[in-house]
Amino acid sequence: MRTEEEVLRAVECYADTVRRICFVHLKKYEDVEDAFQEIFLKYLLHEEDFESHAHEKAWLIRVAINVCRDMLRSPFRRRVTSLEDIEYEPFYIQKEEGELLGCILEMPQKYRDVLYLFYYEGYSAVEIAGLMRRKENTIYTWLARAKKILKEKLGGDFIESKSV
Amino acid sequence: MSQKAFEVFGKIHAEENLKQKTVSFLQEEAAGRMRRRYRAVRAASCCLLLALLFFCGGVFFRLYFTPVAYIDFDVNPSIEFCVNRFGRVIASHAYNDDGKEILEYVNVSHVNYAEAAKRLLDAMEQEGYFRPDTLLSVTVQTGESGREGSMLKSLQEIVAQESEGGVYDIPAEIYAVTEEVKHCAKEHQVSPAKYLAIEGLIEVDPEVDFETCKGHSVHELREMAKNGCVQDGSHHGWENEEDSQEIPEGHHDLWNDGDSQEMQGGHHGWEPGGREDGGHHRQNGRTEPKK
Repeated sequence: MRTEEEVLRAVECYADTVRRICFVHLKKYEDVEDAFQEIFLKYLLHEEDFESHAHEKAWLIRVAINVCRDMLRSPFRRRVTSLEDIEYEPFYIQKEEGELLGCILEMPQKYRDVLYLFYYEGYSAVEIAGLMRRKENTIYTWLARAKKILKEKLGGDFIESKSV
Repeated sequence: MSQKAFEVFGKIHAEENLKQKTVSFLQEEAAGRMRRRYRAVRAASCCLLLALLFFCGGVFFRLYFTPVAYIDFDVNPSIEFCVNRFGRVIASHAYNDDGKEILEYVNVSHVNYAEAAKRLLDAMEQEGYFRPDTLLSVTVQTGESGREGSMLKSLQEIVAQESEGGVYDIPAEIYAVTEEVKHCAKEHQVSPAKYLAIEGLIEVDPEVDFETCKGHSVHELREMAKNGCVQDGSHHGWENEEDSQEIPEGHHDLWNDGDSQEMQGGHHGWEPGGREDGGHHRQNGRTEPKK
């Protein structure tokens, strides 16, 4: 079990990242709370050392995705994120941004994850493959399909500026 | 719209309240887990301790209730003490009815063998078994020579003290016997002293029946062997008395040479001729046969 200091530092450093992953997956704030706590509880109980901060962050992202997925798989918690729920989030989103988020949240989960990790967290397709325990080609396919959906819904020039 | 649009995710932050709640939850969880771990460790320690206690108890029980020595008393009450490695009498058996009677009211269980011997001899004296024509035979059988020596010495001292104190004054012999003699005696349900006396008598008169002789005291058997007659007083005669009275192997007389060292450790041949008159006298705190 990790020390209190380690846990406090991890919460301070990675709370936003974890919160964003929860946001991408979960609709209800109570679920977000539960997932958030469970993710850091796993961190508390994880006794292996991390090689670096990047390794630690990647571990937390993978755990966060898995916890959120597990919560959604649970028959007691089966809930779908929708655009309407964004309004309940306690942060301000412009209309244009809201459209993007709404479009992302309507996508299948796997596309949401790869878009978030690729475009916001800046991971490469290879790194995402490692994080999600998938083949690289699968990630390329998912990215391509996600971009295609965004193009169709939001316009052709939407995500041209970053190559995979 | 460009990739910058994805920076909308940057507007999503973990709320302070969420962080606080999570930290509190984790602190409680950590404390709870520590408590549970402590309880588990404590429970495991208790189990381990109990297991250890059971194991030690079992070992002690086994050690305590395993006889390592046997002391047999024969006057006519014929009694056996089973002695454990701690010198305690863990069982006592009577070979005859007189012995059973004595054991009914003499408590020797879990008493040190020396104290038990003292109690038994006192009881025998009180019951009037110590008559001038009786012989007190005490035999010790143990596989450990050191223990054998100390037990013989201790029993000699008890008999000597009691005799000196005037509690009783009868001839006494205290010696060690081999495991083989003890085993044979046990098979015939007699004390080793009586077994050897009967064996001695059988050598004189091969027609003697072992079962018939069991009812006689050691003293009587010796007398019969010495006189070469059994029950009916018939003389079976032998040319050379000394030759005919060789004692079976495995009998260790303490009194022949009077050497306490040999008495404690050695297994000696028995020569009843040395007690022809049946009388004994005490020397230096020990009961010894008259020369």
